[in-house]
Amino acid sequence: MELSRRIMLKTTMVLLTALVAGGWTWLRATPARWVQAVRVGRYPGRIKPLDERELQRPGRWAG
Amino acid sequence: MDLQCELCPRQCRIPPGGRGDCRIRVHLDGRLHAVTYGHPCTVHIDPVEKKPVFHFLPGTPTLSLATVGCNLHCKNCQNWEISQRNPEEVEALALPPEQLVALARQYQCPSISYTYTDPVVYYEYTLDTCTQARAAGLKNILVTAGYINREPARELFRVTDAARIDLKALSDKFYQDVCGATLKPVLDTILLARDMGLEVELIHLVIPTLNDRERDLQQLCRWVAEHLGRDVPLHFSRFYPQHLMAHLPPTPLATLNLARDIARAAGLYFVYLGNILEPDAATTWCPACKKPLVRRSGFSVLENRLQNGACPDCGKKVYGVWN
Repeated sequence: MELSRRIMLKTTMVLLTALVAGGWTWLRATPARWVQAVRVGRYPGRIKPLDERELQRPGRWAG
Repeated sequence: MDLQCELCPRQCRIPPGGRGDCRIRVHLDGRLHAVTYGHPCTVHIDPVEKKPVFHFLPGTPTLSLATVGCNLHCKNCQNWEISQRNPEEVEALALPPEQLVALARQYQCPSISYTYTDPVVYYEYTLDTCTQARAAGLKNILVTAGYINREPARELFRVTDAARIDLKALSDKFYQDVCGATLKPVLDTILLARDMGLEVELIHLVIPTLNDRERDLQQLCRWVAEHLGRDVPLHFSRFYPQHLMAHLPPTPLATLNLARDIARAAGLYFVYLGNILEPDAATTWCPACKKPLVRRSGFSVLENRLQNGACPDCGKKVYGVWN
């Protein structure tokens, strides 16, 4: 009886540990999915002022 | 923990501090940030014909903008100095959506064009500006390669009026080799735009030795006629040596004329030649009575004979938004 309980406890512990480890690994492996990003323009480059004369000329870029 | 951006078919998996393939969607503080939101690197007032968009408010100015970054990496890109650069390398303006709308109104532009790079990558900025522009009575034009997932495309198209979409080839291999992308999502986007009632125009840049074979052009024109209809405008654009394809020659005029003949033989009504100044390269002809309706030279409209979007001679309605 005592032996069976010990085995049962051991089995339960092993199963629980496997479950927690598996869940953790799965969570780590599955990245959070984003379609729309946060609308905070933390622009890492330099900011320039608007030149309204330049604005009124057609752009040098294609399209 | 990594993030996965599900905006475009690349589905970039981004580690903390990293950025997507487009260079401007960044994983910061456990969230995905659009770092160019409200920060266009270029804003200009262009004629709408420059996009090129020929069947949408012809002869009008359009406020045109872009931020840096792109989710395609075309070896022939004409705008690589902004599309293939990190934001750290390019100066930008601070113009939130409401200021763009105010500028468009101030300069009497009936539309705003999201162009030059690709509005797909500055998606949130485009979406918010489109929404505010529409509320202010302005139209929205997307100039895009169409490399976007279906659901975000659907949401964006709800507030868009016209889309000029690149169809670079009808070949997955071309998209993989030249653009680092795939074909099917582009075709899906084109069909979705058409189904959602946008005014759609396609552009095909004809690159010598890569997508200029007669068979390729026939296949592409047939696809357009069968899946979109004969009235969707198709622009064949002349290639000039650029970026990583400086070794190729410009597209011969004969190839462009051949492309136009093939498109017309496939039944397409509105076929144009771009990046070239040739008589009638950019003329809109009536599909019924074959008379000229809109004559253009470069980006200028020389004559527009349409009356309420119809031919003044035979009354045939012409695809597009004309006033």
